[in-house]
Amino acid sequence: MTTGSIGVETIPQPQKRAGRSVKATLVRLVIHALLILAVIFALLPVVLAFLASFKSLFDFYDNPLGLPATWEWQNYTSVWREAHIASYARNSAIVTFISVPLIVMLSCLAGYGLTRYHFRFSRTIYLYFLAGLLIPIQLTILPSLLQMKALYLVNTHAGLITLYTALGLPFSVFLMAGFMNSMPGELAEAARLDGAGELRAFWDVVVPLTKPALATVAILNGVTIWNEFFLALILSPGTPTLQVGINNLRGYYSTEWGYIFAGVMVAALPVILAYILLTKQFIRGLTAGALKG
Amino acid sequence: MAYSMPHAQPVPNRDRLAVVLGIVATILLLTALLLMNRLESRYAFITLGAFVAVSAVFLAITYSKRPYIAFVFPAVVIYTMFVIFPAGAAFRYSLYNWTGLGPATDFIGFANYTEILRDAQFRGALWNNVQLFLAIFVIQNVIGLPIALALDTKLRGHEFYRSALFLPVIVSLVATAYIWQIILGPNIGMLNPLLEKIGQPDLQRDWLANTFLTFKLIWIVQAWQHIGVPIVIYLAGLQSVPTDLKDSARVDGANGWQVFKGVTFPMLAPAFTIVTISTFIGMFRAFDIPYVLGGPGGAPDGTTDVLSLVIYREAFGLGGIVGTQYRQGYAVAAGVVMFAFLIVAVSVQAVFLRRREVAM
Repeated sequence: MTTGSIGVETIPQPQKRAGRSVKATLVRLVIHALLILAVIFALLPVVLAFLASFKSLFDFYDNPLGLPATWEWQNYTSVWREAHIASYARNSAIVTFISVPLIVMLSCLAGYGLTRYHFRFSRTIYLYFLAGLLIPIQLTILPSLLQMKALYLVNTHAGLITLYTALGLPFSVFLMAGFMNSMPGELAEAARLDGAGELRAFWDVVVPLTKPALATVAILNGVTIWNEFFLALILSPGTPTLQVGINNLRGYYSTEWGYIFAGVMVAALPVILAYILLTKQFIRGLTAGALKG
Repeated sequence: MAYSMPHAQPVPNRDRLAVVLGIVATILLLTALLLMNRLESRYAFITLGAFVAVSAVFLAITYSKRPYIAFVFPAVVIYTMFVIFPAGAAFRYSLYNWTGLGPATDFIGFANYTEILRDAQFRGALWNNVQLFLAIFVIQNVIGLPIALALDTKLRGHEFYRSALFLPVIVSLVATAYIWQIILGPNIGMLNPLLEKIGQPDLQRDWLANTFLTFKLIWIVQAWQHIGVPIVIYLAGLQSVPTDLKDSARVDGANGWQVFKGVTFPMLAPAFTIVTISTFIGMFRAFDIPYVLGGPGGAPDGTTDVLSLVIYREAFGLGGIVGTQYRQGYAVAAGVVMFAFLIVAVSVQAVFLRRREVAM
């Protein structure tokens, strides 16, 4: 099929030989126009919020539709210093960058153990993990809160890390086990025959081969944890993550919208920048996340 | 063939010791969990410590013969402790009139559940979740699917379009709710000034405090954030549709719509199943956007209330202060009902959609 005619592939229209190319071009133009419209709808709110984060309060009322009259970088410095955004960002970073390696490590080990050795309960344990996919956080949140209170983990990083890790496991184990199943087992076998121990064979042979799946698990959990709100709001209001922090901004600055949007951008931009750098991996990781359920 | 070991081996003494240690470790873990839920911190810590010590010895003994236990053990323990056990405890708490302070003692049987069935706010919220799901379902199939079809033709810039349309998915829901304030918000929203400018001041509204419109706008905000996922899944599904199948249908004289209906759409059935079920689960768990745009009370007048907000309110009130007296037993029961509803609805959908997949 030539590139020229691909544009009409899926467009409901009778195929008439005469004037086809003109019609095809027109149809293609209309499709492009509609797609551009959709892209504008997708991106405009983010762009507007980005611009708003540089506006002064006066600008918001005097000139609601235009660009900032003067670019107030000070919005960012103020919100960073006054509204504790710096400490929220630290909390988010600590929680995310400890939970994600833990999930990756534990799920990789478990996925390997469940698929590469056929033991009596391997299937049962696999299904046991799958059951966790159906449990909504709204069901477990209050007993979890009690548990965390007993362990003195409320309002601590360790508490959030523990729960995010546990909640990330079912789906990550599912992904890792799926990936390991499709991987040839002979290599680890060979390493073992060469006298490497079980863990050695796992670390030297299996882990490098699973890199794509590890990346998927890391990105999916990283974005999920960085963006998580419900659990952080309930378990850790005293050590707020960025999402809880920016939700509090409304109380902190009742109408200083420039500051509020600067805070929102601090929460959103790291993920957006990472997405721009690693678009393909992000789309793969987060689409895998949609299978959750 | 993967590594396998016959189960009956010599050295029965070590085997027996390992089994005993395994049982002891399990008992210690369960005791620690029970103590945790009774808020008896010190004993919980002691038993947890004992559990770690016993399981370390257990793993050291079994590692040489059954290495898989060491691989699977940490994940299973953490998952059991912090997901499965709280889920089980939730069922127990739902039978108590429990404020959330201290252990639950006031056993009331199924009273929480019968109250939920009569509770107008619960039913209202459930109906809102249903509406939210139906709205997103329609939007992703009426707008998302055609976009996926267009992108599947590999027209120029299709990768850019896909990446741009997916971007909102990675923006957190809290940030999304704020970002939409810039358009809809009462003070800073651009929609009202824009309407003024184009000479339609009569259309100006307080978009986020309108009993009719606000919830519909929440649909749109939720769809904006979510639609990249169905587009990408449909695209992946479309790539599995063989081109020659479409071509041969076309040679047989089918027009574009007939090709779509007869060839492309049936082949998309698995993607359709995944998208529908994942949207269903997502929309029944929705919390962040209604919470930030409408507040914990589901303002205005409960028209933006959803199940997660009901649970949150019953457990923590409108202020969200942990530790004050609320009806946490009732909230947990509401969580159980939500869980049961999700399981039943998802299994029904799965069976129904699978049957459709096979039929087509």
